[in-house]
Amino acid sequence: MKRPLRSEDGSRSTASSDDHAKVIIEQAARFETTIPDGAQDRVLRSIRRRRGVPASSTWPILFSGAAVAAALLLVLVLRSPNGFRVATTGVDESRGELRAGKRLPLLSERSFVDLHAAGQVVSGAKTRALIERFDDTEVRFRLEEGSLLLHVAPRGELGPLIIETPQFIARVVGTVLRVVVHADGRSSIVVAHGAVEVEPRGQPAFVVNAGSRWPADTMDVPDPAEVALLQPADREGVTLGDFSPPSVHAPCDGDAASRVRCQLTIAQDAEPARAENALYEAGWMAWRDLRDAKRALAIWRQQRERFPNGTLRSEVQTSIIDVLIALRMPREAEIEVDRYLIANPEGLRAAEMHFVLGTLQREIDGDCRRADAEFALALEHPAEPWEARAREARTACHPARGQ
Amino acid sequence: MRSEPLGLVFEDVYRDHFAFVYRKASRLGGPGIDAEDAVQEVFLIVARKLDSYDGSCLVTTWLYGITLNVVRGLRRRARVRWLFLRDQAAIVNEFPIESIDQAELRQAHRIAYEILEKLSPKKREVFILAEFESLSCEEIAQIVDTKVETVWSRLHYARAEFSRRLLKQKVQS
Repeated sequence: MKRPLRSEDGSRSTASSDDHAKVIIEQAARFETTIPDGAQDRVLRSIRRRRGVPASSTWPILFSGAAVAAALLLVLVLRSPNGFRVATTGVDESRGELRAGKRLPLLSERSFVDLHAAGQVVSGAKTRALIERFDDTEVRFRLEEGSLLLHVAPRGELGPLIIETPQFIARVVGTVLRVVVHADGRSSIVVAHGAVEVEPRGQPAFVVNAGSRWPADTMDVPDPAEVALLQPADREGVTLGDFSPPSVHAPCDGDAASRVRCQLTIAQDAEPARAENALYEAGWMAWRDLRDAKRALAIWRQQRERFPNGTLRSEVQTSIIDVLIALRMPREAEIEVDRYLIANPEGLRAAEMHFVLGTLQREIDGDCRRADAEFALALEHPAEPWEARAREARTACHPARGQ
Repeated sequence: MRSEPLGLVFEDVYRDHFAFVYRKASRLGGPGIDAEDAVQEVFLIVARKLDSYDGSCLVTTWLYGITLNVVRGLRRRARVRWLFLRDQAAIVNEFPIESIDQAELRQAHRIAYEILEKLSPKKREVFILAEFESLSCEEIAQIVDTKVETVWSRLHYARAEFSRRLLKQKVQS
């Protein structure tokens, strides 16, 4: 039974003054999702499968095209109870213990360091950092130069994880953040999830919340491959966009058409990360709010042309596929899915994309000759629910093939 | 998978809370995301973080927070959904014998989520948690990690926008 909320003055508030809205809300709230038969076992099997593979060699591959290239050369070392694992894109190998006085490996490439229960770190290329303390009461890094992208597991009763830079000390109790120290000692922090206490040298401490940065005008942004090295399950839903600097422009207000124009204006003269975000947003507004799929397609194609290696290239690619399907352009969609699979042959969405491709080919061809192979490929990349759907599609295809 | 300091074992948490997480993911994500995908991601995080769960909040509150984050991530990513929504519609049609009441609820659910898709993510989340999940603003504040006043404010504007959009839709139809 719905529990009525109380307003700030303690009086009962209705869901809305509008009766129709109240009815819709009440009915929608009573609508219960049916859990499909076998879903519980199916999901557990997938989880076990995904957890059963060494994390460092798998997750980056799974996540994005950028990570695929990186992870092909992945090196996995040391798995001692108190050691750290280092995975890098190059041929360097590093091994070590998580203990005070130990330096993080100075590598020419960015590298992933698993801190076990404490979290994970992706250190930028040529980063100089020292572990000053690593025990149950405190974990402390000193970052001398370079960047550290961290997922810090909630510390609970344990002491904070501390990062010292030439300009500030950051105390973290569980969050996703990135700290940068430039060659001249200038330091910055961007918090993508949670909150971090920052104490500038000689000044009182303050809290930097998710979506904020210090100094406020810093333009430090991670590159996509850096974020891709952080395991998806440890990103707390954070994406590259969460690390982007805020817009220097006024917020886009007004009706949908004005907001699209506003985003396109931002895209013209903002810095690259912001411009890319603005174009992506403009595309979605054009489609979702203006219901102008063709315009959305044009915007995203423009974005892809302008930012072929942009941070949102994977999202743009799937959005283009989406809109092409909506525009009933299966042949173009097929080409785009093909491109996606060439770039991400073993990606997290491989099964999904093979299933989509098969469905498109079945629609284009009117039979299953090509589609069947794609459904079979979807089955080779087991991921639910696509595995089950591909199996169903193949079953449906067989009578067609027999005719 | 191993025993945890609070005596929690992953399999137990999974068995006891699978349906809870599935339903929350469905509610928070709406028809635009695949609930099984979301549940899988949620429990992968649970498996990794069970040893850091300190019991300072209910397991369900902890799971709520993780589910919310996962759903946010899934919704942010542009996904190829169109085909599968169509497939889901086909599945729905496999149940033609449905009570009038159930059909009404389904219709209301569809209308509500069409409108919710147009709300900003923050307003949308708060609206769903308050109106569909019947959570108090204090509980919502804990889950979305913000102040109670902020929740009230978002809820106020979300309700107003919902009513306005619903009215507009009604007039147009």
